[in-house]
Amino acid sequence: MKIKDAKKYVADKLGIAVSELTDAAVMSDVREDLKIGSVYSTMGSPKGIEAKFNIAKLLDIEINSLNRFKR
Amino acid sequence: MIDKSIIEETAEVLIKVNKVRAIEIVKNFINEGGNPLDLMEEGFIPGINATGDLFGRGKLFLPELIQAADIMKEVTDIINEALAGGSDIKKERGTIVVATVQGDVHDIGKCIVVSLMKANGFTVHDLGRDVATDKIIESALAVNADIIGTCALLTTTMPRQKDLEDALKSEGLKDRIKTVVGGAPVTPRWASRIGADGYAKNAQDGIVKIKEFLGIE
Amino acid sequence: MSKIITRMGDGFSVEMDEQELMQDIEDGVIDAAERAEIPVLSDDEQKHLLEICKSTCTISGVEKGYEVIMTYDGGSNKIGRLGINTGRLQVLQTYERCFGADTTELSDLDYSFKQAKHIVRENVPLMEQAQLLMVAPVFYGSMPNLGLYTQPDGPVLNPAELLPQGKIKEAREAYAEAIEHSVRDMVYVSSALYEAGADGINFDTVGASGDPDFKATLLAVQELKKKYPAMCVEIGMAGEFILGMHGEVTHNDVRLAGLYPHEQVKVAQEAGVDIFGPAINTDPTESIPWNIARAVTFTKACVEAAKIPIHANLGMGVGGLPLCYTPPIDAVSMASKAHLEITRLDGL
Repeated sequence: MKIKDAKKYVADKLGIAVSELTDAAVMSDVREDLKIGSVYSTMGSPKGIEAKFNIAKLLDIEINSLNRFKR
Repeated sequence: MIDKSIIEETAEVLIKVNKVRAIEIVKNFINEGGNPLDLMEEGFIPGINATGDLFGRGKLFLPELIQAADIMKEVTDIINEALAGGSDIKKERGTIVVATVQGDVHDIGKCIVVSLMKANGFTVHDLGRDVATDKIIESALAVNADIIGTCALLTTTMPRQKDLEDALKSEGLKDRIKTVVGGAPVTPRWASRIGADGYAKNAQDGIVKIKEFLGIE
Repeated sequence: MSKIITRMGDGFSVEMDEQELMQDIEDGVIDAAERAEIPVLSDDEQKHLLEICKSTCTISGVEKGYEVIMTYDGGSNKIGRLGINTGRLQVLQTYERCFGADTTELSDLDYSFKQAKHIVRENVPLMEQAQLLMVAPVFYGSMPNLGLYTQPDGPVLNPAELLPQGKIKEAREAYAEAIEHSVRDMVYVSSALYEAGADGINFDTVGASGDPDFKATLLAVQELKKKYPAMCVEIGMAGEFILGMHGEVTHNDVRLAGLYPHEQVKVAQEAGVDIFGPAINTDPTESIPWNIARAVTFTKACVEAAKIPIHANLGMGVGGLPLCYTPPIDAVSMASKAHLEITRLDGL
């Protein structure tokens, strides 16, 4: 996918505008709400592989390491 | 209509914490047949608001604010006595439970908030710092609080304010008790995201929000 | 009039037209000037600020020649706070070699001199190793945090509990006692780290517990400078004015409560401070242009009053930056540019 299409794809999946993908303030809330990992490592928030699981599901994509982890 | 000079002096005695003169003003006003409720509304309440504002600007300091609160208590008692069974001005105020949330041991900001609330005549139950959500709700119910005010000074303890909102919702208490959140990292957006009724950016702003909730001008 | 996308103090976007933006700048300037009784920014400076705030770029920058020192406080805590597993020495190197830091800071996660006292002997060899590894100056930094000397965390009665009860005399006595404990710890820890080779000591978030907290720091600085005249001392403040928790604390006959940055710096430099960091609080309910204008007005007066270098605090919720976890870089760089070009300060 080229960058323009990729941005639109991700923004649609996250339910935000393309311009908001690079807005740190908006993305902080989005990351927290969708549990896809945040810049700050807060207590109880999904980190590492847990966040990747949520991202794979949300974006409907395959992630090699997750598939291997599941095996 | 109260004489402008009396209104000005009322504010001045609070700012300069002159308790003797404050009592004199109230007593003279009552003896001369004035309505003490008017003196409270037009003189002392704007005066105590001014002290809160000056504190917020670094022009007045906490010990003075506390002495101003003491003057307010004294003049309120004199006015209530003068009203002798009529409308008791204390009844117009509300009951507030205040706490710093669990995991957070900061209490200086809360101390300022509590002092200013007392100065404004509210009944305040200060639960201290590092207070569990359950205890906040239990205490609020025990004293029949109108409002719960919580403070979080750390980004890591802000989620406890959300826990309180969730607990109040699940126990069906949201309609009964209003909540106001504050603390250095807290924003209006956070208040709105967690479902708090109000956000206070500082102690004086908290007083404004509380008065709005309680319908006090 | 076309809309400009800017931000509110909580970091979220808001649209304004140029007139509204200019109005916010004017209001922010006036708010600072009235509070601190300092001059407003000139018309030209306000217009320049408007140009900065109108930028549609992701990152704003300064012209060559305007570069200043980048000083980092609490450095070795912050990477760990992001959940990145690394040691403090690697963090110092990361700041120096990846982030372009001009000064770095070794510090403890529990960022208070009282807590650092117990582990100072662990920090001494680490500072020695840091000095072997690093080219940029390595400071040791911590907070005076006077509150930790009060009950239940310390031996002294808690003024935050005494004051609402109207026990003003008792609260003031407690503060006096807390100051003594605090000065002793600050001098003890700072001496040990300086003797281990620290390039300087940073007293961070000074005044967080009000005027007694500032007083304790000034006394500690005086004592340290008497002991080590060549020691570089930096202090970074907690807020734009000194909160009057005691109200009557003085230093060289100057009442500390209520001092604004241009007044704070005079007291600090007299005590022997070498670098001063004003901290101007962000109001999340106002726009970023309002907040930057306000911060720049306070800081400019501070720079003009100072004989020592000014390294303003620009971080989450201070210096006109948004109050949010990850302040957006457009706002961060905009505030930095405004501070550099208008206040002519020495560092951030």
